[in-house]
Amino acid sequence: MKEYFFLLSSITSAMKGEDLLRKNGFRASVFRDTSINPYGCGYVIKVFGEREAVSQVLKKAGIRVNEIRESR
Amino acid sequence: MLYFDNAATTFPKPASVRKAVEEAFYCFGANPGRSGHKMGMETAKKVFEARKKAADFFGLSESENLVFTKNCTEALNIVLMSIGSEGGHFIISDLEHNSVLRPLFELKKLGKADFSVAEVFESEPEKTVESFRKLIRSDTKMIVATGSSNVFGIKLPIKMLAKLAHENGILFLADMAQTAGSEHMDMEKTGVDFICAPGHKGLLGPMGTGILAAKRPELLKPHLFGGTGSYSLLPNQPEDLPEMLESGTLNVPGICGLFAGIEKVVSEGEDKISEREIGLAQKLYSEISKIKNATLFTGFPEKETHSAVVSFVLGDLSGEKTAEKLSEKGVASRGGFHCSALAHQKMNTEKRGTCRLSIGPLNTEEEILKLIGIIHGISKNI
Repeated sequence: MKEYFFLLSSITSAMKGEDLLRKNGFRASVFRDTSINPYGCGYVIKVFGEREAVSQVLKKAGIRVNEIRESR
Repeated sequence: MLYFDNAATTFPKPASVRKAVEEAFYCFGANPGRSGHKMGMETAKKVFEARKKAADFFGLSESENLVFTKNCTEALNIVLMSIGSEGGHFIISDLEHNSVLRPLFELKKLGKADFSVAEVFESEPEKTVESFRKLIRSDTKMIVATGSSNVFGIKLPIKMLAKLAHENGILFLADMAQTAGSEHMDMEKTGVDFICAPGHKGLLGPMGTGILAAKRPELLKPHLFGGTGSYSLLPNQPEDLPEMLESGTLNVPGICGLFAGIEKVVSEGEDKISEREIGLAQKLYSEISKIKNATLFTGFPEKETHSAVVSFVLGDLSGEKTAEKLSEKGVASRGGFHCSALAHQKMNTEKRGTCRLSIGPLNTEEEILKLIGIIHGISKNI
């Protein structure tokens, strides 16, 4: 299991994603980040888990993810 | 003061609402979605929880499609202007508030959209639905109906009208200005496409709050452009909801109060609230009907067909003057034309207006008895 950063633009989507991931047993938290989003001002869901499994939870809920990065 | 102006805004607000508003100033005083510090994120979380609660209340599964507005009028304008700016035909009822009539009148004036007005038949839902059906055209895009007339308390058969709309491939918008908090509306089950509601009436929140719940969010367009806390380096308005429709700083204390108001409604139960309110309205109506020089404008209020509103006038007095007499005796009511030109045309009250007594969830039987005594007293002295 790895730590991933899911980059989103909407605070509401980020919090909805965090909520859903926690309900699905993932360790997730949201923070704001302006440095890694190329369009300025975005949000990150930090989550531990399998990239594909996390992506599926978010996709199923219609949450639009701009980018996924692996924590270094 | 005896407060019977709940159709304008409910008063007093529950203690839990007042506490939530005050708490917001201490605990959620940062700008949500703008700053990443602890209080900023906690405030954003609080707004998110309120959004989820409100979405759930209206049976909306996607909480991001629940938009906080400053009132019901703004919510109605967003929907009507979004849909109407592309042209097409709307059908509204003859009991609609100016918040529905005026945006559509403006669109018509600009040559963008057209609308027809359907007659509502008091306590006859089938006839009302038929009157809407007759006005459907090939270019009809949307049916708009109020849950209940703000002036006369006559309810419209919202669920039947939503069904009619969908059978004909038409969108349906429910204006729940008078019924949110006293009549349950589940968007998933009823097929209502858009709900517009004030936060400060039946939902018991503070003034300056409103809700737009959208099952067809892809049809909505921003009416206000600006900061959303996202995509800050791009000049175009973000397309993500709810941010697309919530430019500028949110009314966080108001939203916190609204959150507590909805929780209060849920804990009491909408059905129980409306039963109690209509019971008080029935008592009031019965007593006013015994006064010889009183004029009432509707039939006896029943829960299925009326909300807890009693419109009347005394003697030759206008609605405004009747309300003034009541005010002198410490009663808060509303006199005049209630921002509803269509309703007054329908009921032939365009000249005198009416005095509206609207009962809220916190009114008591004792207050009703005092009010009845006051109305009897005034009626004898005019």
